[in-house]
Amino acid sequence: MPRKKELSFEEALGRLNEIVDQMEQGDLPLKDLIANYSEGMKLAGTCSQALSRAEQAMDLLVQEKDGEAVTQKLIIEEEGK
Amino acid sequence: MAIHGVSEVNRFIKGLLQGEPALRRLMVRGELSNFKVYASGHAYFTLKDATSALKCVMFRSRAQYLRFRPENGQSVIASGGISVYERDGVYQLYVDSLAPEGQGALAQALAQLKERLAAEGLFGEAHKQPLPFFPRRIGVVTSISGAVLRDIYHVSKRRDPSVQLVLKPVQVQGEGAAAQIADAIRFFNEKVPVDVLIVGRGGGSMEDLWAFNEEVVVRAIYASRIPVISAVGHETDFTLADDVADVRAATPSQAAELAVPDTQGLRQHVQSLAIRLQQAALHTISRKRDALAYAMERPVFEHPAEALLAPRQQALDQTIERFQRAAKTCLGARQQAMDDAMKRLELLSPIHVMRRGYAVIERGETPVTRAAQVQPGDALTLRFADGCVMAEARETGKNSRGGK
Repeated sequence: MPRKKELSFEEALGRLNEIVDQMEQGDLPLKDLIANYSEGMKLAGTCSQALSRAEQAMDLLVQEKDGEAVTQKLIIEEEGK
Repeated sequence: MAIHGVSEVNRFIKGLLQGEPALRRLMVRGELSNFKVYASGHAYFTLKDATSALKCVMFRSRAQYLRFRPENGQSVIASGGISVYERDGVYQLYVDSLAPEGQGALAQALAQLKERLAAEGLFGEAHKQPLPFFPRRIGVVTSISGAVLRDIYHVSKRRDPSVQLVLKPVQVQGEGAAAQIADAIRFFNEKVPVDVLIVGRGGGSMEDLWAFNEEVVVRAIYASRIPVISAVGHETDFTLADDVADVRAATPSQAAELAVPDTQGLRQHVQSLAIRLQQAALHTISRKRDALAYAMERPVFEHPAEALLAPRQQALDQTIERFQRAAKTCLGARQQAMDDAMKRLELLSPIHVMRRGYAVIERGETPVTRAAQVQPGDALTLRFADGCVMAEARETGKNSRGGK
């Protein structure tokens, strides 16, 4: 199977909604039911994973140098410090 | 000379004044006096200079937007048009906007710029871009110091700990601020891909916020392919950046709320979808299982032999019975016929005749049925029903029936 482009969170959630609606609505043939169910659970996993991503991306401070972006870690100073 | 009514004169003068373009729209500098806002919301005051006074009225529809508290003695610039209040026969300035002197020019310039950019369509709803649903990188254009960045940081991390902030620090007020802000917005669009931009600063005076009213900033926001949320000053502050932004946030905190979805809520939503998915699947399967069970309970599955064979067995039984009956009927008739035949046969039997007193004559083994067969001297056997007599023929002849 050709490798599919990774769905965005939004697309995954949209597709998941679609599948749930369809499954709640109709008496799907067993074959489709199983296919939809696996796809739905996979999407739910993708979404949850996206939401629970543990790693916190480093916040950046970006400056322009000779027309290019130069980044460094952004330190947010707390009030009073 | 004609004689005129008072109303007529006043109306005439009003018409004259209104017909004068220079009086239709003008700005007047003066000192405020007798400033009073009536219960109706309309404001009445007089503008004075060293030698003269001018009556002014500012209707509620305009007065409610006053951005400062007017005080008597204050030097102000009022803009509006001159007309006549016919009842009292006075002319007065009908004021559209009023600003403390010093801000007056600024306010005027702002109004003109806004009008010009609006005419160009920069504030049209058609150009508003939707915000991304689940942004991963938030670009921030603001000062590196100050509460704005902190507020955005805290609110966005609370809602989604994994969201990434990318700050392009700029000067947000003073000389060169507008150019820096505009450049930063362009820079994000060209060099630093982010999902959404927050452009703003904290509260301040109208002059402090001024950079966000400048044309370069407005045009940079308009040109941004990245959706822009404006967050300038407080809830009551409005700048042209707010008008042109895709979404206006009242405060920097609100900007972060608008930009970053609450992942906790989203996680629950996804979870509930997964549960609904499972339930729907189980429900459908159980419905199918019921249908299967129902089908299996049908006799053909429950007792397949009986169900399938019984009807055939019955048909067979019936056929056999019919066959037997038919056979019986058929045989019965034959039996009867045979019995009859037997009886008739019996009647024809020589023994039967012999019982009635006749005898059968035989010569040797051969029955003798005619006289001509017999020669005198032949040995004959006379066979009666009850036994035989051996005899010898004495004489032959035709039909001698002596005696009788």
